[in-house]
Amino acid sequence: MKFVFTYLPEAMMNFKDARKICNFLSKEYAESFFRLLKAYQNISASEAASRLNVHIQTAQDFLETMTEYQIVEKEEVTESKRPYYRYSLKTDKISVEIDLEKSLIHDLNVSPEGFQIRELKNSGAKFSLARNGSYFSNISIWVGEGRAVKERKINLTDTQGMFLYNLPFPDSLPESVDEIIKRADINPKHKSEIMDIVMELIQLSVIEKVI
Amino acid sequence: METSRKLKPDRSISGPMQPVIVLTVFGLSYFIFGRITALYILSGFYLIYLLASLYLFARVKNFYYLLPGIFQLLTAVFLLINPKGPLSIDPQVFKGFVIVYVCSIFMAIYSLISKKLKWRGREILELAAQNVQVNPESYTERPRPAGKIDVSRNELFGFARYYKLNLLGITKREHNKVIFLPVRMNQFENFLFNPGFNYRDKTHITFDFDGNVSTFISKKDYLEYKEDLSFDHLSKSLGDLYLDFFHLYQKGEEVRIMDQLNEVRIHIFA
Repeated sequence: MKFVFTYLPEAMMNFKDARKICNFLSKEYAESFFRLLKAYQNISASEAASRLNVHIQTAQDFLETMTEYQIVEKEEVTESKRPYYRYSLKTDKISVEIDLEKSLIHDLNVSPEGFQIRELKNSGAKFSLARNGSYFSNISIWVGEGRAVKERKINLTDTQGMFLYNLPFPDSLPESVDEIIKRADINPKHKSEIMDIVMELIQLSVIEKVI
Repeated sequence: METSRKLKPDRSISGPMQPVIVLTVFGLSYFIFGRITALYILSGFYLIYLLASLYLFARVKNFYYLLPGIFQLLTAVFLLINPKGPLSIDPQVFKGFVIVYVCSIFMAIYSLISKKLKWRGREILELAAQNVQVNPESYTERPRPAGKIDVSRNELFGFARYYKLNLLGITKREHNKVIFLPVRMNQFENFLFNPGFNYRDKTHITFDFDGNVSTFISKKDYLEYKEDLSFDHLSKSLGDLYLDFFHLYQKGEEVRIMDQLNEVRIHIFA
């Protein structure tokens, strides 16, 4: 699946970068900044701040972020005083393109053949069986410490429940995700949702990753 | 079978405590209400035991439960019609009754020492733990798939009947599966008489109608072992044991199941 969000030249972004840049683009003053940048050959942060009546730090953050994503370029100038930067618009078009296939699903498939998994010893997780008893319907984990400890319950899809039902025990030989999928007779097309829960349970110290 | 025991010794006193409680109640009622009332009370206890035996017979269909049932019935009657009892009968009839009563005592003893009324859960747990090595901190409270077999519903129901009849444990049927619970001697009262009994937190082996087999070992039963055994190995071994039992049943060699259980040589009250 390819999801085009908005446009920035030469950029195929991950979700984190897209979130950051879109955060700035959504500001009320963003359009005014670009109007200034378009009108001026170059402009300093203090000039832009005074022109738009925003705080100098706000202007600096905005321009630096745009520079980071190559929408704006900056040049250091001295002009008989201490050095500072002047910013100029580098492009006429902005696009933010997020390829969900690559940026998200790819993260979930982090070399599944590269590591093996099994339940972590003393994980303390409680697996609840589904009504028909052949897979798990949810998993409860105690997170936090002391008085802050609380139960986190994760509802599982049938496929995830079946996968975890076949997860190797803490003292058994670890297996790769593919091996467990095969043993559990799960359709490989569900691998991404399995990898999602596996990565989450690794984070929550329920599953042990053995490299 | 020369085996080193993996389970802790059975130190349960629930069995021996029953006659102690009955005799204590009898003694107290003797001193408080007199001999006649005490005999009625004791007779009442035996009738309650008789009901329990009949209930057990109805649940597991093991005819040997009728032998102690007969003994309990005759004991209740004996307590009432003996020469010092509240009811008097012809001495000749009483003599004939005593002969029948003594026979019932021997039959009840036979049912005990022949292990016909022994619940075999302890033997099952011992057999499952043979050759399982120690591996601390390996317990996890979830079932383990044990394999897949070709099975028809009728075969599964037949195996369940056999399982109950021979007191390997009790079974529970759900819409797509049969659950087998091994029962030890010190557990059967709770498993069979407790109306709120829930099998889910007890050790059980599940056979579904598609042939999938899984095992679950409760933490309580796991802690019955002297050492922290490898839990994965133990669960697999228990599953393999039940698969063996089932295959022996399928082949009509059920006697081999009892042979294996008898080889463990555990005393009749454990």
